[in-house]
Amino acid sequence: MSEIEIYQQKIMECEREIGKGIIGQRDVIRQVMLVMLSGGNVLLEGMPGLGKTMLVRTIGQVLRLSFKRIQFTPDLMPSDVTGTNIMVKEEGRSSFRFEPGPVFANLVLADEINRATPKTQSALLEAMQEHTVTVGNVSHRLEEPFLVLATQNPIEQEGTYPLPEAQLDRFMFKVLVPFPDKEELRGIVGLTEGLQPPQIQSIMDGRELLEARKLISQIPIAEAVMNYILELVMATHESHPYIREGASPRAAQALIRASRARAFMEGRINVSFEDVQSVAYPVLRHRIILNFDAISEGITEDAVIRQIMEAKEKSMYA
Amino acid sequence: MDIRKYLTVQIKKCRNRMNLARLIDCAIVFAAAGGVLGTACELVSLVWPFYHVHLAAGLCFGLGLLAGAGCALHRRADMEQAARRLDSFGLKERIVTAYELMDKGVETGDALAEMQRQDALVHYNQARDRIKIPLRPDKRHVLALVLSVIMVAGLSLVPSPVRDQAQLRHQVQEAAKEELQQLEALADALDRVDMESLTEEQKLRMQELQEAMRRSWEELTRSDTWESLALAQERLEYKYQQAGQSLAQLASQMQDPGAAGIASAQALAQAAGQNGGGNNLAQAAISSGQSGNGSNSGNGDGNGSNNGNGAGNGSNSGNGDGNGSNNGNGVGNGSNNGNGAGNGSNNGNGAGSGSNNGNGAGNGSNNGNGAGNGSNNGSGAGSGNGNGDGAGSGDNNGSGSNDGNGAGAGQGNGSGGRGTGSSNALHDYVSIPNDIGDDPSLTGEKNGDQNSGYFRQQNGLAWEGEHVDYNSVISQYTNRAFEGITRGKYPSGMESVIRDYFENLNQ
Repeated sequence: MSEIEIYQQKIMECEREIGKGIIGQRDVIRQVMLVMLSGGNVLLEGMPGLGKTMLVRTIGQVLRLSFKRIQFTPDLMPSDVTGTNIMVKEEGRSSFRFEPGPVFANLVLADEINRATPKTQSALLEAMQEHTVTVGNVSHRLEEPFLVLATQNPIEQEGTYPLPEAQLDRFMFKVLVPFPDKEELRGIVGLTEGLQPPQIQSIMDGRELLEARKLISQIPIAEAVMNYILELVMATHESHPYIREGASPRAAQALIRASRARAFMEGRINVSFEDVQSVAYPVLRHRIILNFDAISEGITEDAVIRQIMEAKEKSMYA
Repeated sequence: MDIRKYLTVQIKKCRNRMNLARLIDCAIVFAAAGGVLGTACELVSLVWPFYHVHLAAGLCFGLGLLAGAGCALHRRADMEQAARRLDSFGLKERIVTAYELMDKGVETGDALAEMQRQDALVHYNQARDRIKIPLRPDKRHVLALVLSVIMVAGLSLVPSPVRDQAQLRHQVQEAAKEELQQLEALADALDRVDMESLTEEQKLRMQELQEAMRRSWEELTRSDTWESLALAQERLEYKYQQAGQSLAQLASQMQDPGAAGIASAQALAQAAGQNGGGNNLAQAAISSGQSGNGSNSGNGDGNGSNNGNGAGNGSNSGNGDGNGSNNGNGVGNGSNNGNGAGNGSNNGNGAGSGSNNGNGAGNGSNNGNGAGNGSNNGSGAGSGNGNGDGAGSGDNNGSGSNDGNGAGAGQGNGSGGRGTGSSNALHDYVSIPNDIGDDPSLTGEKNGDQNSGYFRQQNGLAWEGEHVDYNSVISQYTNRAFEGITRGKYPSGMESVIRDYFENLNQ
């Protein structure tokens, strides 16, 4: 069995193992896995109590990755996220020592990121983009793999600081966490209120995850599929009746990386149109800005993305 | 197994099949479009003469097919499109990815490319049974083609007088081709004449000849009935004779007629005149002895040959020409300002009558009789040649001429007298008015009701004025008449009458 096939199998096992700890939410688990394999960050939007924290914790267990949770509040300071220099006395001498903040972990759950001030948000965003933290004039490298899962509550908007579009663009995916159906809810209750919580096993570690990322980055994309990706992004800039601002070039990069990851998870060694279509929603929904007409008519970003994909469907096999 | 070669062959097969399907569909679409054009041609031919309409409709189909083939060639599928077509059967872009890795020679890590090809091969073999590239064209395209064929075929069977006219015109033009070639040869010869070597008067005569030939050419090319062709050829024959004579006269005045090109032109004109091509063609075309009737300014031409009879009637300003030859009879009647001309030759009789200001002219030759009657201010002219009789009468202020017998004596042509009604007499004098028109010395009112002054002479009535010898004016009159024929001054049908008339006078 080739190396790529070995890793494909391991990733599938990881997905199954995570599913033991999280009832339902298959799409959410899959999308988070895709982001991890692509080396991006994910923004989770959903009601409280849907298992977002549990999800990140379970992923950390399965992949043997360190996990930290930061609860963002309006009074949270940047140094509370990144860490700070503290004065210590060692061997009779006083000196400053850097005390790393909760951001120094493989998996960071930034809960309700829109509650913190923009200054605190930007501290986390620098870490997301650069995988470094600068305190004073010293940059500290974050350990790889590094993944930020930020959450937003879609209903409680009072007293929040919505992330500006430029900052939203840094998240590879925006995943909508749906409310579970009745059967899934039954399972959740049975799992959490049961006598024996499920045993989650570790399948991979961080190093193997990095190896898998290297293999994924080599998966070829056919010219036709590449053109399709570019056409999708460009279509958000053509005169659309509901779009005020289209997606940035980061969207094209995200589509390519995420499509490769999906092809890998599907057991293929090539990217297909289906892969692109599958990841288009989480990649584009937070990157296009709707105009007033769309908002007043109740048109969502997903509906607009669906329209664009339907329009481009003919060019797939033309 | 060489996976690359195998996949390339499979992609090629798919490509070839795609291109064949495209060729069939494009050919059908464009042929249907050609059929629409063909239908338009057929429709046009119902109201506008279009002889080659069926050929044009067929060509439209053919051109459509060719255009379809060209379009299919231009839009032919390449290997990448064929690979994507294979992927559309659930292969999820495995084939096109494998093809691109082969085509570009890109080895994203040899192992990875090889694995991808292997994966593509496995899935291709699994899906092979359901991969089908249909050759059948779009049903709507086929329906369009069938409909257009039905339209063209249906319209081609619709009877139409315009189509009949186009066919007739084509036949007439085909018949005139030889004549046109001959005429063009003469026209070229006349164009090659060295005008610098001619005097002004000679140049003028040459120009008149060229102009006459040009008019005949136009007449021949415009002919769209047998009758009009016959008339044009008849006039042309006369012009050939005149041209021959004129060129002969010109040649005699020149030192070196060959160098100036006169001799060759003369030879051509004389040869064309001797061929009598015009008469042969005209008679061949209308030898069935049809009678023609024209009304309301139409012309009726009836020609009969070889014991056939020709009867032509023209009314309401129309002309009626009847020609009978070789014992045939010709009867021509013109009414209401029309002209009637009847010619009989070779023992045939010619009878022409004109009424209501019409003219009647009858000519009989070679023992034939000619009778011309004019009434209500019309004129009648009858001439008989050989032993024929010439009888002309005019009623109600009409004039009658040639009221007598012509049989060897005197004129021998049946032109026994002049318009004063005398017969069997030698030509003596002709009255020419002293003044014409607006001369103030004229007595009497120009538009008044007084009669012109006249008196009775031995041979009949004569008018005041100068009297000159007949022989001194007949040549002038004859030349003017022949010039008028050459220039096309006279109504059609009358030129032969006038020509015969003056020829008979001068014989």
